[in-house]
Amino acid sequence: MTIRKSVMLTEALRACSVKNGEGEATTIGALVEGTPALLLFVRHFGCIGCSENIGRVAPRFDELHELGVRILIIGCGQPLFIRGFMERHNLLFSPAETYSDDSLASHKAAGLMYTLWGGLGPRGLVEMARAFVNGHTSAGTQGDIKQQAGAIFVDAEGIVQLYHQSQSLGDHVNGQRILDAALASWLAANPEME
Amino acid sequence: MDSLLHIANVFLLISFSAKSMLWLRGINIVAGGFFIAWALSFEQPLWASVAWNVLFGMVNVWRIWLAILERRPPVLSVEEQRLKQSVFAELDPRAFRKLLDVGQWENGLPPTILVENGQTPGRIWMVAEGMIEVRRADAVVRSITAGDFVGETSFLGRRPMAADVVICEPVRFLSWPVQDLEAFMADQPEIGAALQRIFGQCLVRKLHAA
Repeated sequence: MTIRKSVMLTEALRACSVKNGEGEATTIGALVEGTPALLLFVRHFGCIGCSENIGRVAPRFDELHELGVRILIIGCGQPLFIRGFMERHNLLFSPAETYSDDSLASHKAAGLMYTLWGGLGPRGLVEMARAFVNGHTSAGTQGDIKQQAGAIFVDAEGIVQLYHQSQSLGDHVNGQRILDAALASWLAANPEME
Repeated sequence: MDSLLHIANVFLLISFSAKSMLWLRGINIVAGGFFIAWALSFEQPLWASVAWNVLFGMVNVWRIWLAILERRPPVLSVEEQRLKQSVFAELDPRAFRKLLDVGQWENGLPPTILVENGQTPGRIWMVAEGMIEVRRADAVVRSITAGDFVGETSFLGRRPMAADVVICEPVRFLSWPVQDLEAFMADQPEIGAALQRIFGQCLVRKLHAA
């Protein structure tokens, strides 16, 4: 079953296990249970495109947090790379939590692309150059470079309200779209505020 | 070979219409390449033109590199990231880095009087760890803990301190010289406005605690 907007988050994705920086495992289902959540899938932890992705979305993390959204960044490298990733992107004290799934099962269950072309095809190379010119750098290969990124926003009932499947290294989810989905979800949960 | 000269000038013309400095310099480099090709196309190459265009190209490459470096996400230490999230959340990391660069980290050990009653402090402090006491006639009137400022009232109101500020336990703080901070806030009005709001929030916290 594929992930689609307005349908429940699939059981396959809920059952996937992710690890935190200490190597402790938990399931995605447990992390998103009963709370609106943003699942921000990134490529490998050293990816220049993901540096750009985080640079664009991270300024909205505090707003999302205020709307009660649990922010879950899921990478595909080993858990030992998580700390460095968080330090580089100034996420140590941010409301975002970072996990990893080096088995790539959750990325697969989320329907994300797995292709070398996404990073090293013509579009990927142009986007890599754009990210570099915008001040982003690679921190080396820290995971599977074929794995592409994506984002899923689920409301407190577990219904997918936003789904983004990155086609290439620089195809990022729009932070404003995430915020719009979070706000709509919050208003639906608090109808008296409309 | 005049076509090379025309192509070079077309690129030069296009570069003048670029809004972004990076694009302007990038297209300029391409134009320079065509100028060099044109200068080399003669039986007796125009070496002076080649040399000048190589020099222009090098300057442009250097300035592009500096511009890319300026765009790099700022590096914040663990301590700085904690402070950014707890006190300066409304500043973006680059603005926060600039603010940090104006100030300096300091350690304080007890017993030290940071500022005396009636004195106009030359610095403004922000407690990152530990606690500072505000005393009047040796009685503790307030404790200043992590995330709060010392001297912000004096800074905003241009008035001397109305109490002694005493370090009573090992403390880590960030401090800025008042003159440098004033100049910085004038030079960076958006960061200055955000800083005024943060000072205001600190004052409100203190008033509520009083």
